[in-house]
Amino acid sequence: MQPPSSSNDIDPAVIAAAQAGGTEAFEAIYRHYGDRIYTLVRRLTSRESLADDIQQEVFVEVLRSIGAYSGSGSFGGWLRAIAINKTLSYLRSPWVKRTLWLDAIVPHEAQALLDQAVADLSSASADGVMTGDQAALDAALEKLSPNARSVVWLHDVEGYTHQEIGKMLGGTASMSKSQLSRAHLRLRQLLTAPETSPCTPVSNSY
Amino acid sequence: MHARIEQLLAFEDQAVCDAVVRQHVDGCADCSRELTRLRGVRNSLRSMPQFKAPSLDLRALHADVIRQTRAFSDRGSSGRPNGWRATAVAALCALSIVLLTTFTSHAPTQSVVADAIAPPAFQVPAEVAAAALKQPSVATLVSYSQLLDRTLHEMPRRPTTERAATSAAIDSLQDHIQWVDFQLSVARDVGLNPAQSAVLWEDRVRLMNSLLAVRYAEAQRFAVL
Repeated sequence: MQPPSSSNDIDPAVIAAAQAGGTEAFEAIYRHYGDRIYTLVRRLTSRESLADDIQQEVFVEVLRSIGAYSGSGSFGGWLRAIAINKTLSYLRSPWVKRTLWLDAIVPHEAQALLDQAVADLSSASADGVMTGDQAALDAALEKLSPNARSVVWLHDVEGYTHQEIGKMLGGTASMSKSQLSRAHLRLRQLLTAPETSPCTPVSNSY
Repeated sequence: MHARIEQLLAFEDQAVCDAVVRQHVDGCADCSRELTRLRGVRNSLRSMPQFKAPSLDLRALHADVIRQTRAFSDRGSSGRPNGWRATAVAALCALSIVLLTTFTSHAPTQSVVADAIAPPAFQVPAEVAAAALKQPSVATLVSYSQLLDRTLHEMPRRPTTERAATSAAIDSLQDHIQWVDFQLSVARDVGLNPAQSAVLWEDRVRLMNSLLAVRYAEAQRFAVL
């Protein structure tokens, strides 16, 4: 199983063919990067239908602007940047902020069943079987706010620096750091069983 | 005194870390355990399986992109054949905004798009604006609503490739318009009075105006691609 941030790039000849307008080359690019980009988008949005739409937008953008790829950096990195920009701008849009998702208004009793169903679907649709820990982590990630989830994924998995993430989110490196800390605290709350006693955060004095 | 989570994360990232924190973490069982836990969470995240990407009809998308690019270059050389239609729609949008300023006595329902995607400012003839500023009757609202319907019908077809946010906005507005239409269709059966009907018609005009603004913004976007 290949981690999403793996950076093995496609043959430059395929990119050149795509820049020349070859549809087959685009299909090869999609076969090579499609799952990785989709995983990234899906992790940032946490909703399959949105991720499907954004995935299409990302590759339409690639079709439009592949001529602008100069070849100076990694093609995978260029693609990731398009995917992240599209996803974050979508998450920032007023429509998403005002959208009331169905799973936000179901009664408390139904929420557990819904969570289980979502976790089952997520596990089933991923290209591989998750361990129990990963399934729990997957469910916990979905409970984070879009911003917090984005910071966790971009920093911990994709390997972006706080400075880069701050810039992507229209903020600063320290904003990214504090989002990451809060997100990990929240993940700990969601993942840690109540009987264990986690390391208690205290003031910064020694 | 234990290390805070941001200090542990910095420690894990091998960022510049206070020597005192480093020393503490090395000697503290709780903090070491917490650091190991954080490491485990990150490793689990990194080794999560990938999702399977949906299949895309790249041939159709590619053909669409080529068609749009050609349409743009043709328009550039032949002097914008749809210019009059675009101007008419823009003027109507501007008139709608003027009209909506007269509806401030009622709380807005879902008219959020017009604010978010305001079309560019266009000149509205003074006599049209003056007429619009009068308190509209239900008959005016109905005829205005019909005018908006016709204008919407005249707009170019939506592009094959859509923006997710725009589609969500359009779907949402169409849903709301359908809901208002349903309420208007049963107005007589449920005994709505003229004032209540007027509110519904105002809502319909406002929603139609928003829908037109979004469709116009979408058409403009594709026109410049």
